[in-house]
Formats: sequence, structure tokens, C-alpha cells
Amino acid sequence: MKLTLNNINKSFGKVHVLHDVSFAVDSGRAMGFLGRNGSGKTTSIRCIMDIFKPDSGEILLDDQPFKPRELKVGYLPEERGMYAKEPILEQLIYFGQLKGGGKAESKKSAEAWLERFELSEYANKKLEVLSKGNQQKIQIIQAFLNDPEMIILDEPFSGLDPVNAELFKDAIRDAIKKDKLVIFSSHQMGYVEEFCDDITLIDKGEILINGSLADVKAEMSHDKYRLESENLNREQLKQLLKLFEAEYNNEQILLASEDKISLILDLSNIVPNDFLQKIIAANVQIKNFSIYLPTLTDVFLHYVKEHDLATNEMDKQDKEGNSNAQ
Amino acid sequence: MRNSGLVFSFELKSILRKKSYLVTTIILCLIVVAAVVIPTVLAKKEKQPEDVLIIDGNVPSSVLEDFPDEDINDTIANGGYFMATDELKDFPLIKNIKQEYTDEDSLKTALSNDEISYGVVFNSANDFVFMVNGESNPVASSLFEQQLLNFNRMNYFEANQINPGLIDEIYGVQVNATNVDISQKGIGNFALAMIYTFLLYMLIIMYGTTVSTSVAREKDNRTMELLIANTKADYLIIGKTFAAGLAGILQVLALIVTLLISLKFTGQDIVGLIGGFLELNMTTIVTMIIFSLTGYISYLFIYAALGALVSKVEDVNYAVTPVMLIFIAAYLITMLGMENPHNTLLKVASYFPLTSVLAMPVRTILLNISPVEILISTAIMLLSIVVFSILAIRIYRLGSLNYGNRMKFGKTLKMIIRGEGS
Repeated sequence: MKLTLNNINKSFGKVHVLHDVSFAVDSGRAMGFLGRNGSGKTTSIRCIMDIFKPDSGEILLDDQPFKPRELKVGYLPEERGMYAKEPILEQLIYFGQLKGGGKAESKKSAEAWLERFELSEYANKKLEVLSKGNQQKIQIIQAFLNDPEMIILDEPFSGLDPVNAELFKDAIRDAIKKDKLVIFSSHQMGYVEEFCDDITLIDKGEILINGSLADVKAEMSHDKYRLESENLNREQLKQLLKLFEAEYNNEQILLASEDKISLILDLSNIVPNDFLQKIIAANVQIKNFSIYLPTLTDVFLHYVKEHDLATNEMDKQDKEGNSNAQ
Repeated sequence: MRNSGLVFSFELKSILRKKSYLVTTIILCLIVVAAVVIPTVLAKKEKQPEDVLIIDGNVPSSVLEDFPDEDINDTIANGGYFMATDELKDFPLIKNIKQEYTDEDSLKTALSNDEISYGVVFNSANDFVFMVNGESNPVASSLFEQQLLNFNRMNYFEANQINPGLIDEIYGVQVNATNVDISQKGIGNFALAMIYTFLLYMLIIMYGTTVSTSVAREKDNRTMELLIANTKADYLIIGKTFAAGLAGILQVLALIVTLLISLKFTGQDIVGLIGGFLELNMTTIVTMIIFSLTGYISYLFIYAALGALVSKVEDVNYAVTPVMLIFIAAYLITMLGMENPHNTLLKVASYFPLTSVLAMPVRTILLNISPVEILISTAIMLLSIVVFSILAIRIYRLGSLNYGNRMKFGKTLKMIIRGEGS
């Protein structure tokens, strides 16, 4: 099963929220949908769920127009909501039936999930009597009812303690094993990295990346090395690198980036072993010289900053163009 | 449509389970029981109206003879009198008065000392003064006046040798005059029109607000997103509206059943009571059923749509105010129109869909309306419920997706005209 979004555009009044959003998700692989606040994640998800109609573009499931109400879709919205004053089991059965399940099937499924999430004793209680964390678990159960083919989770971990987060992780892992199509939106990069084979990064309504997480990381780490010294701090190391540039006939040793403890070097034009010998000869005590493996946070920050620079440059050019025209 | 049924059943159960619904129903039923039982019990306890027959006009003198002494004693016993004339020495009522006084002053003194409850000074056969000390006694006063009148008449008849029975016979002849307006129906129909208007008014106001609050609450607590992700907005609004509608009808049925049981319990002849005063035919009954159901559902659709325009429960009142004002106007036009059901305003109101829900059935209950008029109004009503429901579904669909500020009704209508929400 493959879900594809092709050139989705959506505006609210004069605000253009989604710009030609395109990405694809395969079943059996969880896709992490990342983006800053207000980047367009929830609007994209609401378009997938047919809550918002896109202004243009198409959403396909296996090359056919996707109708979420004709497929079993488990959906956990970012803004949680269920009936506070209705008995828990009764409303879970109701939501199960609205998704197309039978009453008996929905009841069986709801009872099984309540047991799995250790909430069976509250089955006939009103939702409002539960703690916030347990209410969150009931909302998660609602998304997993009746064995959905597709699961869309918008910020699913917010409000869960580590123990309950672990219960939830197991449920997601099971869904992935059962070849379900899982879309997972979160700000918590650790969770995305833990589950997701693929990522889609959206910023200001534009898709920046869509693909395998491993490939994205590999692309970012290509010919990049992490350097950390025992006897020199980062500033001293940077000075030393400038001297080497002259020795390498001004071939560029790119300082790709740095973090709190190390420098990230781009050695695409230099043989890494030669470089290592030279800095050892310069009495640099090596603490760490390794292939750079970016974290998801690194990936996120890298692409978002790049996009910011590009959009700022475009804005600047637009303003200049306008003032010249005037 | 399966999901409409699911929504309907879930919403109906939810309303029927609410404490507020149960408490309101019980209180209303108790009011009905009290309204029927209490007057019946009080009427049984009180003395029968025959007690005051003696003070009614045109009473033959024979009545006084038949009137038990103990009843006269109860009425006039504890009094006193001063006879300032010889004309009344044979006046039979004075033997029932407790005390005779020799002059007016001693009578007044006894009265002011509360030795007697009233005093009478007989000045002549047709002139007396009735005195009390703070506590009035209109029954005794009227009794003296009436009996003195009878005493004088009897004396006159005797003096002129006239047979009193003949006079009674002459004055006993009665003419029965009945005014009939063939366009109007009986007094029972007026009561039915009042009950119909009041019940429907209560139903629409109570359950309209229930529906709009329920929709706004789902937006407020974000359940709406989950619902519209799983089913169409059309099914949600249809299920919700009909559930609230049925809950209201069940409440009215509970009141009617309670009324019938109370009437039976108090021994009142229900069939006679209803049949005796009402002039109903099949056209009137069918008109009442069609207009009450379609009008009720139309209003509930409108209330549901208006509830979807707001994102917070506390904003519901602002959103429903315009339609509530229209409905209050319909209620006032109908209630005031009952005084003169031929008036033009009521007639016009019986064709306009938002007012015909009350006006047309009331005109049909009170007047003999031409079937053509009823058919035209029914056609407009049926057409309007289609238009209102489609409009309400589109407003609901647009409103349910808007989580921002309150949507303006006019702006929403423009969006619908542009084809949004379809």
C-alpha cells in the first residue's frame, strides 16, 4: 500500500499554507513527518484525512484517489478530543463503529486495548474521571481500534510518561510489523529516530526532504568527519586548519559545522589518512576522528536553516525587484 | 446512512441519560400532576356553591323555608340588632340573630367590645344599616338585603292578593340565545391552540439550544475533528438533530401520559372532557402533525448549524439570538392572533416557513380554513425544510472545520454561494 500526495496546495483566505506539497509513504515502514510549529504538518494531515479539501493537487492510495472514510484509518489528532461525560467503553465502541466496524468487533477491540493499556477497570467510568495521561491513552486506543490499515498520529507522545510511552511504542512497533502504513508527526526527534524508516521534512508549507532516513543521513555525512582534540579547544583547532589550507595549496578544508565539543570537517577533496597524519605531526592529540553520523536533530536544523537562508534571499530579491520597478 | 443511525442512537442515549433531562421531565410531570390533582382535592374539601344560593337574585320565598336553620345560624347567629321601626316585627330572620338592643348606641358599644360580630339597625321595612368592627361580613349583609326584599314583596303580594307562584313562573321563563360564527370553532379549540403553541415554543427553544450547545461543545473540546475524520458532516448533523428532536417529543409524551393518568386518577371523564369541548377533524390533526414535525426539525437544523459557527460553548447564545428573535416573533404573532384569528398578520405568518410552524396549525384549529390554503402552506413548509436542511448541512460542514474566531453568518452564506461546503 502506498499513499502519495501530489502537489497539494491549500490556502486560508490570503495565507498560502501548503505549497505544492508532495511526498509518498509505503506500508510496513513508519514515516516521520517533521517540521517547525506552523510549518504545515497538521494542515497536510487534515488534507489526508479529508477534513480540509485541498485547493489543488491529489492524494492517491495505490494510484487511486484516496477516500479515508472508505478505509480503516486510525487517526490521533494533535488537538485531542473525546466526550468527557460519556462512559469510556461506550464511546470507544461508538468511534469503532463510526470507522466501519461492527458493534461486537468494536467492543472486543476496545476491551483488548483497554487491557493492554492497563485501563480495563475504567471501562464504564466517564472519561473526565481519568488523569490527563490516562485520557491520552484512551485517545490513542481510539486510533488503534479495529485493526486499522493506516495509522496517522499527530504528536502522539505529548503528555505521556516514560512507562506509558513504552506501552505506546510497543503498539506502534506491532503496527509496523503488521505491514500497516504509519505516519508519525512529532517534535520529539528521539521518538521519530527510534521508529521511522522514512522522514518527510516540511518548512513554511514546502517539502524539504522526503525519503529514507538512512539515505538522508548518509547524504549529510558524505566525506564528513568529526574531529575532537585532547589538547586543543575548537578555536585552536580552527586556527590550525587555516595553516593546513596553505599546505594543501589552498585546497579548501571545509568547516562544515561544529557542535559543543567537536568540529565537523568536509574532506571531500583531501585523503583523510593524509590529513590525519598531518595533524598528528602538528602535535594534536586526537581524541576523536571518525565518520560524521548526523542525528535527526542535525538533519532537521541543517535543512531548516538552509531553507531559511534561501527564502530570506528570495524575499530580499523580491523586495529589490519591487523597489527597482517603482 | 448507517452512520447517521449510529450518531442518532449515541446522541439520544447521551441526552436521555443526562440528569438534567431526567430532572426536568420529572419536575414538569409533577407540575402537571399538581395542576390536575390539587384543584380537584381543594374543590372536594370546600363547601358546595349551594351555600350562597340564598344571596342570588330572584330567589322565591319558599327557599328560605327550605333552608336549614343551622346554616342560617352559621351565617348570622353571632350578631345584634336594633329595631327602630314596627314594620318589621314579623320579619322572620330576626329570630336567628343573637341579641336585640334597645338603642343604636348600645348596639355600637357591644360591637366595639367584640360581643357581637356585626350589628344591624332596621330603620324601616326597606332601610337598614349593617355595621361591622373591622372584619367585613358580606354574606350576612347580602342575606339581610335579600330577605328584606322578599319580605316586602310577600307583604305586597298579600296586600294585593297576588299569587306569588304566578310571579315566580313569569320571571322563571328563560330565553336561550346562542351566538354562532360559522368560521370559528369552539372554546376547546382555543385551549388546544394555546397548548399547541406553548408546547412547540418550549420544545423548539429548549431542544434548539440543546442541539447548538452540543455542536459547539464538540468543537470546543475538539471531538469534532475526530468525528468528521470518521464520518461525513451530513450524517453527524442529521443524527444529532433527530436525536434531540426525539428526546423532546418523548418528554412531551411523558407529560401527556402523566396528564391522562392524573385525570383518570381524579375521576375526571377524559373522553367527555376532550370530546365535549373540541371540534377536531382529520385535516386539523394532519396539519398539526405535519407543521409541528417539519417546523420543529427545521428549527433544530438551523440551531445545529448556528452552533457550528462558534468555537466556544459560551458563544452559542450570540450565534442563536437572530433565529431566536424570529421564533419569538412567530410566537407573539400567533398568541396575539388567537384573539382575532382572521387578522392579516397571522394569515401572512401562516405562509412564511419560520412562522407557519405555529401560525398555520393555530389558524386551522381555530377557523375553518380552505384546504387550498393549507396545501399551499404545507408545500412551502416542505420545500423550506429541504432548503433549510441543505443550508444547515453546508453551514455545519464549513463551521465544523473552522476552529478560529466565530464565523459571521453573512460571510458563511457568501462562502456557500461560492460553492464552499458542498
